[in-house]
Amino acid sequence: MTLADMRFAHAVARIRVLEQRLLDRGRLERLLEAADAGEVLHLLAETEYGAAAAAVKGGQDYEHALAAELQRVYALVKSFSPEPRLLEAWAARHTFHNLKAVLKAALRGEAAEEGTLSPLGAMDRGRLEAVAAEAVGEGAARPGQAAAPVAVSLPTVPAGPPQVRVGGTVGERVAGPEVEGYVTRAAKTAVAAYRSFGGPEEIDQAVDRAYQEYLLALARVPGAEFLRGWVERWTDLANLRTFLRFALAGRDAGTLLRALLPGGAVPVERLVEAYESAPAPRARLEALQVLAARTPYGGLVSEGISRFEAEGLLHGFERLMDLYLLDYLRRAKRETFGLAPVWAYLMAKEQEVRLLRLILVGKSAGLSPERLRERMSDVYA
Amino acid sequence: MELRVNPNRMQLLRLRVRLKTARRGHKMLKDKRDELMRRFLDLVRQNKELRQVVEERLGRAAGQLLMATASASPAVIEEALAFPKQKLDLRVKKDNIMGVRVARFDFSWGGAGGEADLYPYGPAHTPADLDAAIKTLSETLPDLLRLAEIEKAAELLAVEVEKTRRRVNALEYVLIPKLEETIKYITMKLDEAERGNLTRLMKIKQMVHEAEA
Repeated sequence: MTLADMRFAHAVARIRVLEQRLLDRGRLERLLEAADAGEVLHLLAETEYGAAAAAVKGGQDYEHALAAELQRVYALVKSFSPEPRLLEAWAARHTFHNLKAVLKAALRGEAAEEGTLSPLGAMDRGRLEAVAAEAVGEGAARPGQAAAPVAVSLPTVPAGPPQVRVGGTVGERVAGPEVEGYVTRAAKTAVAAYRSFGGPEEIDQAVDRAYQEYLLALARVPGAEFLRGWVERWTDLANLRTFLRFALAGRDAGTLLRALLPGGAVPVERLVEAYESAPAPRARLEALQVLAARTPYGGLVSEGISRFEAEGLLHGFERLMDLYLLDYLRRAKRETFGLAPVWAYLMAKEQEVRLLRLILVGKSAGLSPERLRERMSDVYA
Repeated sequence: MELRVNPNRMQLLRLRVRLKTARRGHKMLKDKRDELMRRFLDLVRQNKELRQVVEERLGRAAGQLLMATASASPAVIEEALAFPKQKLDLRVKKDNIMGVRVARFDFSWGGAGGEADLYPYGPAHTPADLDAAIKTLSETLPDLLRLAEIEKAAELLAVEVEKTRRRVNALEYVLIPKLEETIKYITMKLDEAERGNLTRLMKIKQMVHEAEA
């Protein structure tokens, strides 16, 4: 424990109170057994979601309610956190998501549709559009002239913490990396990648890499060890899932290399090596199992692949991913000071919203509780 | 009721020609109707089979898309699909089925990377169910276009079958009977005139003989 961790004492105490309000398994079961989405919202009225559920007018409106609840919780936690900059990683994901949407729209010469934007982003739409317009305008070829070749960065872990000023003594705040700088660079890299490789997925991948670099820079700040562990595990699991998805789609190793994220415990090079070692999808799954067996994800990968073989879909693997990350987050319950409980609470809240979305979408479509239960992971509480 | 014509030999000849043409037309239209029906039933059979396949696949894709929207926020899904990667080049050509001009779709589609090049989004923050939905939809698209082609052709053939059936009936139950009746009427009139002439000539001849005697 560092002195910096002590500054979270008040925040952690408040988090422990908020944790009591998270949905438990019993309540989730009641929601699962509800007759329809209306009844789910009615049951939610008794919980922390009461205000948001009351505002739901019908149809798909519950999506706004879920977003509003996440926004409320984020603002609340940020307000009492001694290091709000460290929590910006949460909102930054939505900012980078919005960047993807405005970049794609700018490259098509259109304005981004409202439905593609997340209301939880930290940068406003106008600023993001200006960044996107600048990035798209910069590398554009004039008529009759080919666009200049641009070097596109591939997954690497950033060498040092650029833009990070380290604090650690009582009273001094940690200045984490600035999101806007990463967003501006991401826009330029994404446009360059799109122009070099020609697919809109290159925009997503380049922006995801920039977000990852931002997360890694943030996670290197002293006191953010828990965040570092979470980023590492999330990255590994996302990369393993990407490997599986690419293998099943029969995509080549070059595209996999561009889609993998840096910063995991399993190096990107080893994943690509395993991918290249086997040409057929089936053999690639086996190669992944062999590779994962030497990592902490061996059991998860084997079980995920057997579930895929039984069901033909990867949702079983995704469920195992969620459970693995939840297990990690639950370690924060034993922490009394530091960022861990605060970050774990935010992620737990997001996980809870994911479960609620699954239930609400499922109930609106008339899916049975059993079918929904198959796909549900667990709650943090 | 017969046609209102002058009962003379010229009209008789004309009507006989018309009757012959009508009978030939009737036979040809009946043949056309039968062939159209055969083709129509063939299309209906193909349509039924293809529709079953397409509906099953679309149902599966809708389920996968539903689960994808349940696993990620609508903004993530909409952003992922906001910039399509595949291009569809659709050319509409015209085919002739027994005089009915039906559309035939020639299409080619795909991206630079072929079948593996379907997905216009990054994998890190999108659910795997989205891949399954995109794959199922892409597998359905050729059948969906073929189904549209067949359904439109069947619809046009049905209209033509109905039109031809009405023409056959009009010839069979209206025009041909009327022509036959009119021909019969003119023939009777002409025969009667002939008989009148003959009687008149015989009477004249008798009167001439009587005068000479």
